[in-house]
Amino acid sequence: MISVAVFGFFGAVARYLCYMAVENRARQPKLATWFVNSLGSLIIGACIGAELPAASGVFGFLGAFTTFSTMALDCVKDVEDGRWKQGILYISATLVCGLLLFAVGYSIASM
Amino acid sequence: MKNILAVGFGGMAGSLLRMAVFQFAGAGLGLWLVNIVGSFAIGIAAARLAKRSAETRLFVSTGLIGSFTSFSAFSADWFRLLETSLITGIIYAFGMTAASIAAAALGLLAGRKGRWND
Repeated sequence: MISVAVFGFFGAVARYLCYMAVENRARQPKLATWFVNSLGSLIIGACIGAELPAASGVFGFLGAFTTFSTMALDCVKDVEDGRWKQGILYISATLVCGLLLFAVGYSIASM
Repeated sequence: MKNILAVGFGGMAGSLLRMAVFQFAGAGLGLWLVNIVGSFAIGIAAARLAKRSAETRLFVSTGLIGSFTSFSAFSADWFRLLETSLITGIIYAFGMTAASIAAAALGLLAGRKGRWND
């Protein structure tokens, strides 16, 4: 319980720092969301592959570090602004990268 | 510093809420619940909090709702489902994504229409 709270705090802050880093360079917050979701998927794949116990703090960190709601909202905004292609590309890239990187992390850690 | 604390405490609350939903509904169904409810909520927040302070938006949208929903667990569940059945895995991924996008769109509409917060 305390571990979830503490790691949730740092997971969210780490995601926010990624937004800041990307926004200062590219003015494209979607890139940061794609990045945290991809990196989070890679790490959770490695943790599951290494059979870390479910109660370990890293899962609490990753749960807060990655996000689904921001991705959904970004896509809605794209569609609303008429950028259908960009929205579809963004969602597809996030889903595919998340899955592939999970597989990479999982395979490496369970070898 | 204020912004970081706003995100952090929001993330703390969002993580605890997500854990409560998982304990109540189980991790599988729980992930559907948090991602759909969270996407609806972030749509409302985007519409209603546009004029609020940066700290308020960071606490609610980036911290609380952003941490309440999760993508890493989604990748893990999707991968496991794909291992057993290709079709089930694909339906799962498209289903949760489409449902969350629809929820965010509805939340945005509801937030713009509602007059319960002005």
